[in-house]
Amino acid sequence: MSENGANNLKYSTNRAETGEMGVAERHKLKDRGEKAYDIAKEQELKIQREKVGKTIAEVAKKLGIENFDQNSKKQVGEVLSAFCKRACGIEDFDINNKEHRKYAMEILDTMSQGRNLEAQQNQKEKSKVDPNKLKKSKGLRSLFVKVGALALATGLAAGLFVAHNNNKKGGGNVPASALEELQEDTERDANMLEFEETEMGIKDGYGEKGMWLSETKSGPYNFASATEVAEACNYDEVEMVKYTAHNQVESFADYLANLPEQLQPEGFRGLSIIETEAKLESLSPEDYAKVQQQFDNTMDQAFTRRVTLNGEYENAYMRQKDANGNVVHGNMELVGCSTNENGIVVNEFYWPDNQGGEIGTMDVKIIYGEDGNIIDGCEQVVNKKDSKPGLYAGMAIVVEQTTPPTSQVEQPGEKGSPTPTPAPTPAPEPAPEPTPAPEPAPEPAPEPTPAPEPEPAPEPAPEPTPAPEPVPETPEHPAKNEEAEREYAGGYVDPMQADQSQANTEQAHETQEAVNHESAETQAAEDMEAARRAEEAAAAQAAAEAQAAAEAEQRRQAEEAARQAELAQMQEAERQQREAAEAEAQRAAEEAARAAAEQAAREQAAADEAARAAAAEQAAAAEAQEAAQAAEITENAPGQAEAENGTLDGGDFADIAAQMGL
Amino acid sequence: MDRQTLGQFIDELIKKKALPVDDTAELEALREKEMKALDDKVIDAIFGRLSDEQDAELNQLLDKGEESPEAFEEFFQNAGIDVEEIISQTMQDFAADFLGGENE
Repeated sequence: MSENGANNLKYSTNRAETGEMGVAERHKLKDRGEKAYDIAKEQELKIQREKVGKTIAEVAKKLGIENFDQNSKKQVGEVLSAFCKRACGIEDFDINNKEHRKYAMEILDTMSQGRNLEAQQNQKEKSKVDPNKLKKSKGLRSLFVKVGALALATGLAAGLFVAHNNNKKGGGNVPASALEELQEDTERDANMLEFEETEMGIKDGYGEKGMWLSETKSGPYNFASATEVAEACNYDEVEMVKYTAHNQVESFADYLANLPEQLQPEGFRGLSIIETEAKLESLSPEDYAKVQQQFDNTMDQAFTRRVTLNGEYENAYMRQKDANGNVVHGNMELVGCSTNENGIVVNEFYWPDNQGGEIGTMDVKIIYGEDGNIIDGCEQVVNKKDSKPGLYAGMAIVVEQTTPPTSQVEQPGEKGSPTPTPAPTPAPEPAPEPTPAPEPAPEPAPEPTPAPEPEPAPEPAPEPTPAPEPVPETPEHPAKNEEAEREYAGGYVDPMQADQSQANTEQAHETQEAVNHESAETQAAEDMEAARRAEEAAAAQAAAEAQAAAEAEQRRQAEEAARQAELAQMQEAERQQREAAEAEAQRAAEEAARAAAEQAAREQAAADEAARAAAAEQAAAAEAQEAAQAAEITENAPGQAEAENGTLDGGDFADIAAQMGL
Repeated sequence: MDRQTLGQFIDELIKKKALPVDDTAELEALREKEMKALDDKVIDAIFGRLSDEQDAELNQLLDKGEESPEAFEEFFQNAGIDVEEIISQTMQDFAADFLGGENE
């Protein structure tokens, strides 16, 4: 490397490490295969993660959540959901609701850009001047017009209105020659702003780290090399799937079509993988970006776990239509395949619902070793054979056999008893393709079938399979073709290869036109089918809603009847209670009256008795008086002496009476 | 600040940022939003520095219906507030925030 080149690389690496490098500049370095590209990519991811993590941690703190772990996807999801509910003021905030999400993103955007509404409010409250008064004041407005214009003019002239990072341009110990060269490159890179524009819409990212052109991919049709993608995405499975979907529309179609139907974007529900790809291709860049954002949001809500695969599974792959053509989306096609899985451990995404269950799952071939680390994988979605028959409709099917890696075979505790299968023998592809999918014209007859399953590199004992080995002379292994590796649309084209590339391009165009004609007719039929399916789905939805409404009405009526019955019961009980009280009162009154009458009778009897006693006493007194009178008469009678001397008896009285002449 | 100055400044920033916004209505909405945000920041930056006494004095000027910009200029000078400097600094900070995502 020349001194100039070395200085350039040093400068670029420095910018990459500090996160100053932009997209266009990064792509340029990538094309030159320089290390600064990798550093820049890693730095970009790191900055994004730090920024997001910091924002979420701040939100968690404000919500009073203690011991928040920003590496815990579950906690992050809970924080975001709680924040959105509070910030948006929507009690039934639903992350899957487009309007709710849009509103939440606006608030988050405001926060992240530092225009904190709370801070502004606090600051406004400091001044007691009515803002309306300020705006109505002519004198103040005149002053501000003059001063504001002056400030603007001065600032523009002095170049003061710039981003923070740009202020560092040209500073430091950058050699003048390197800076000049970089400035020239930057001017040329102005035309490469198309890179930034292609971030919206379909992106031909087949050459990005770990993607379809990766040499570490273990099968030529694999979407990706999972180990390499894991490095690029910090071993975060959700980020890996999002990254792959961003770079390859075929992968995006596979993931979208395999999402639980409830989570699929509107217009994509129930479509096959091929139909999903066609739908994506039909979108404007803005709408494509919206669907991509929605997918990213859905994936951010996913949780992950490990599952073991045993048996036959269906996958979607992709390959070039014309092996000699460019590696661009237009020259890629999705193909289907069945594989025999025998004990491999892969990643399963799942989405919990609000009732403790799950909305659905999606298994993606990111493969783990015994220690739980990612060891390989093609990043395709796998489904148990025939479990989703409509999903793979319209695809060319490739017949595959797989040999599970020896290390996988010996894993303890796996389901079933994994047995080693013989190394795959190249099987010829069925000559008549059973599907209407367009085939590239120059199709060689015997096509060595690769083994798409991951086989760890350090395994010299198993019979070498043709799939992972580069076969430059075989058109069916385009990944190993060095020309194809460099020539992809939207990227850097080596002028030394321009002529060859031109010839290839022309051939590819001719082939493409023939293919397009066939595919147009097929597309029309598929569109009609998709429309019919959509109508059926809508009708089913309407019927389900009507059913639900009827059931709700029934429930309401039952509840009303129960309420009325309860009310009647209560009223009856009250009436009975009232009558019992009245009877009791009546009885008590009668008892009191009876007692009073008895008392009166007793008193009367006592009074009578007293009267009788008084009368008797009176009679006795009268008798006593008479006796006393009688005794007085006889006081001086003859008998007196005898009475005085002794006792008188009856005979005496008789004598006395005779003597008296009585 | 007046709409012309605000608009001119925001247009300059939008041009520098090279936002992938094609829809005119969306661009206009963004422009209005940023203009208001900048205006609010300028008001906060200037009037947030006033003490209670200065607030009262300014209110008197406003209630009186003072129409002479010189009267307000004198007020700010007496209050030790360099309005031009504050506006310039606020615009610089605003630009730095707005353009800060350029390298992502």
